[in-house]
Amino acid sequence: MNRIVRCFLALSLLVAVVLPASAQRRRAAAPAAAPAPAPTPTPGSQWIACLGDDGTTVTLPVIPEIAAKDGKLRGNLLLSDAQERIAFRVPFGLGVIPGGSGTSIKCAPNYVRTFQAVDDKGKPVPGYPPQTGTYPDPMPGPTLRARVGDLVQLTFVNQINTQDFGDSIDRGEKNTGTGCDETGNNIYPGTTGDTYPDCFHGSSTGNIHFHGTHTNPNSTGDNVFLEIRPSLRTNGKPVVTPASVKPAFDRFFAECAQKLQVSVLSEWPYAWSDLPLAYRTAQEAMLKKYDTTPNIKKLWPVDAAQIKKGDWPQYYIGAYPYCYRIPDYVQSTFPPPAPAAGHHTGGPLSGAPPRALQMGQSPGTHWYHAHKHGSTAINVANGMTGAIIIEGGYDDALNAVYGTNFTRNAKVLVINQLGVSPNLERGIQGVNDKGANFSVNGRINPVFNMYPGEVQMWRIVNTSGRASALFAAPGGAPAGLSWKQIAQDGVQFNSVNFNSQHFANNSFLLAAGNRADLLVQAPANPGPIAVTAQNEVDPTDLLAYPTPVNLPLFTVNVTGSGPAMTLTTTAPAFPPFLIDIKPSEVTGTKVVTFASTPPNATPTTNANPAAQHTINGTKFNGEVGEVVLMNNVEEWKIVNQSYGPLISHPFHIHINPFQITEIFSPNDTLRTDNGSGTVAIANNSAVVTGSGTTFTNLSPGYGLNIPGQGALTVLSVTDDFHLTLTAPLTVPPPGSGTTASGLTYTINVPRYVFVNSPAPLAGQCYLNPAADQSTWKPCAAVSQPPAQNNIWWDTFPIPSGITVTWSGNANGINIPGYFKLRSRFVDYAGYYVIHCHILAHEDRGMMTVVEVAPLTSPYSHD
Amino acid sequence: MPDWKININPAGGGAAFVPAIHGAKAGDPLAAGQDDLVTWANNTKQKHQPWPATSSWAPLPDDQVPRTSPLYLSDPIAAGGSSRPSYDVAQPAAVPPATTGPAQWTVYYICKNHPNERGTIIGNAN
Repeated sequence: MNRIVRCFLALSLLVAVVLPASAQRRRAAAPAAAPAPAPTPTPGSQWIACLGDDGTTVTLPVIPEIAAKDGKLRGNLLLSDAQERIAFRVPFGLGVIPGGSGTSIKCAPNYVRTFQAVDDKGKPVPGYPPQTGTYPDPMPGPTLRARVGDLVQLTFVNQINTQDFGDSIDRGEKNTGTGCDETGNNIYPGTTGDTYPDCFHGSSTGNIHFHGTHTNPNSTGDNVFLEIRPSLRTNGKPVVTPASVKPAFDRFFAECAQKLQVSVLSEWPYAWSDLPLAYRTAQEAMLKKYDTTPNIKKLWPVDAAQIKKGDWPQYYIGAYPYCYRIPDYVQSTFPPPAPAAGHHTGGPLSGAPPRALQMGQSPGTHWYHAHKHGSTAINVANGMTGAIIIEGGYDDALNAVYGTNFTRNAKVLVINQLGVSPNLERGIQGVNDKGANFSVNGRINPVFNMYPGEVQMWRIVNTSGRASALFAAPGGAPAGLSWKQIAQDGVQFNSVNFNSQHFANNSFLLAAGNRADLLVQAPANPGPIAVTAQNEVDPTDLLAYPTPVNLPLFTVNVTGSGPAMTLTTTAPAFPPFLIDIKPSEVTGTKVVTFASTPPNATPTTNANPAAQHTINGTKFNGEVGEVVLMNNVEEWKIVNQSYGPLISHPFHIHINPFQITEIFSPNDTLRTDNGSGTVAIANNSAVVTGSGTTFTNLSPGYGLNIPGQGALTVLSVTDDFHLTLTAPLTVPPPGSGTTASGLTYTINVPRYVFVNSPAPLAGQCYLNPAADQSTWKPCAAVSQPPAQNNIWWDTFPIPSGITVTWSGNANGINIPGYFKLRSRFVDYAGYYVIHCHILAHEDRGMMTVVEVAPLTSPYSHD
Repeated sequence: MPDWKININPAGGGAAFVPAIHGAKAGDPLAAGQDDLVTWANNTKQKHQPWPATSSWAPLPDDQVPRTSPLYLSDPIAAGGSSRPSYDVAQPAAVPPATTGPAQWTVYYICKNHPNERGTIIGNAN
């Protein structure tokens, strides 16, 4: 409000022209067939026609690929930027109900950073769809397709034109300013509480995280500490191009292939001197030239100091060669037999004892995205994501059933919430917004075909930077379609899960970062079938809606004809290294605590801080948060101390997947019942008065859903006709001023109750909020997953906590949610990270470093 | 909510503000929504600074536009650079007896270093 008042005091001098309403009309639709002539801007309207506004069908684009050949995934991945036709949900501020009534999609031409596959001349590889409007439509980064055992040899080129964006060129390195991106009017960082480096910044710097890969996290592997700056420019043209680095990178890739050929566990390069001389010389020269920019901290001295210490330097300009192996586990049993003495040491440390690969790369659906701390949210929202398909025996088995190239013809469905600058950088700050509507392969609700009875494989990747997609809720597969989930997070199911009814026609949650593979069969009858998802960052979001909104993801058009097919029951052979982790394997435990403060609650000098997000009480500062000895197995309790707004932070760890052994979600709902009778409510009152009601069947903690009011929680029950909520109603009841009566309602029956009288229902558990923390754990019925057939994940939402309040204890007691994981920290020593995959949280500090320490010292003891 | 760019392009020995929209010409307004962000890209060899002005193109006095003001558009932009901070297109407050701000409004600005270089942003409340 102060901002508005200040704005009024000055802007009232300036507001002189108010255009007629007719000037606000939308721009005419662009022709669909060919690039249209540039339209004349229409003063007063910022919108342009969206794809499909003219009635044409929006088809699902096939994403171009960079595919491995002869055991090498070679190609050029260009990071650049373009002005694209971006879809926005309007009006802003209704984001708490994405897709709800009154919202619509409008489009605007906005600059975004993009990944693109290009040839050595910098031209897009074949396969990109033709542009159909004045502005190109978004397209995810190229799908990377390789096979276990292959070498990855990618030339990464950053040609972002920094002039297309506000000054965000790693401002943190500059000597002046806050180090963060800035929005005027003291909006950002303003009073958000964000400070460098845990703030939005550096959005023109690039790197790649190969999400889901089990590989070397160092040097030219899955190294997210790299910072590759945009190419310098001469006369507006980038000087670093795929062609300019090709000679040096060709030599480097050849040597890298030779070095990594020695053993599946070989790692290389180790040191700056391992890079080609021409590249090193050029990098040093460009960094030093960059360092002549006024008012910046110099970069080359940072690299030089790291090089001197023998560390891998982190700053580069224009291009970087990624080279690493996707390890293939070839043993037929687990654990693997120890290699014979004298075999390759498997690591950089001379004198290290022989060791064997403990886990291979699981073949499946993985993905990649930008991972520069401070700009992952904006870069991923811009579309800097893509799928990685790693093929293996999994594919061979499915292709044996369905025919050659069945898995190569699978639908790759890259979900994203496309957008531009984060809400926190805007005046409205959007604390209740759930992000943009979901797009699939850059399109809103695209269409693709299946013929009646056809079986397709769908590889679904939720690359969204914020929201979980509750896929096909409620009820699972939409009428007509049949499916079975066969993999999670790029790891195939074993034969039991492959044929489990639990994973047949199921609704499933894809948190930001999750993947799922489905085998899907079309119905016998032709026609369109809508596949939808609900948008949430916590399951309680959906309880808060009057009716959860099913957002369109895509539409399957059942048409045509083809050979008869069936959903197979033959599961691909399960790699031995994916055997469940036994309790006896666990050698260490840890507790890792994610926490969010509510907005305005942080005791700082800031008047109005935004929610703060931490791991183990601190924001990311580069220090190592967790240390594990390599080839050890640990069990971690991942705790969520977020009590409001409720957020199920998606926990993600790089390099090694994990299995879940226990989940405690104190906000769990057992079921939803229709309430008897009707209720009356009044604005600013917490009292609910019933007519024909039986409130004594409820107890504190039960939820009431009253249309137009969202989810309410019972504080106390007086009698069958009176109860009190935990908070007064603050929204005037619709249509009747300050009171409303005769309202129907539903009851959320919680799984956990916090009073012992009345006795818990069947399926409910009593948690003693005040006296016995040992009760703060799952009900016995849900405390343990199956003793076998566990699923592997690399991202999992941590259940949010609950604040239990009751009469006489208004402040309440906080009970955190948690899950427990087991992981094998095997094969690769080094530094990598764990973080929240709500990427604005990661950028703002919810990340820490994991150090996997090598098994041996670098010294000989002969 | 969108982000917008306005180019500062060489023009007739000076410079001109051109919204980065296909077909836009020097002097065209940029249409933007409430809380959209706007930045300027300096494509000239001189330093420029977008600065708020009255509807008759008189620059607002410095003391009315501190860096924390909602009217502040950008720091000086070096040749070849882009602007900082981003400008948040804020809806003016209601003028009593109206209870809501204007549905549409215009922000006039000039270059502080070259007052003849002029531009406008038309804000929309939705």
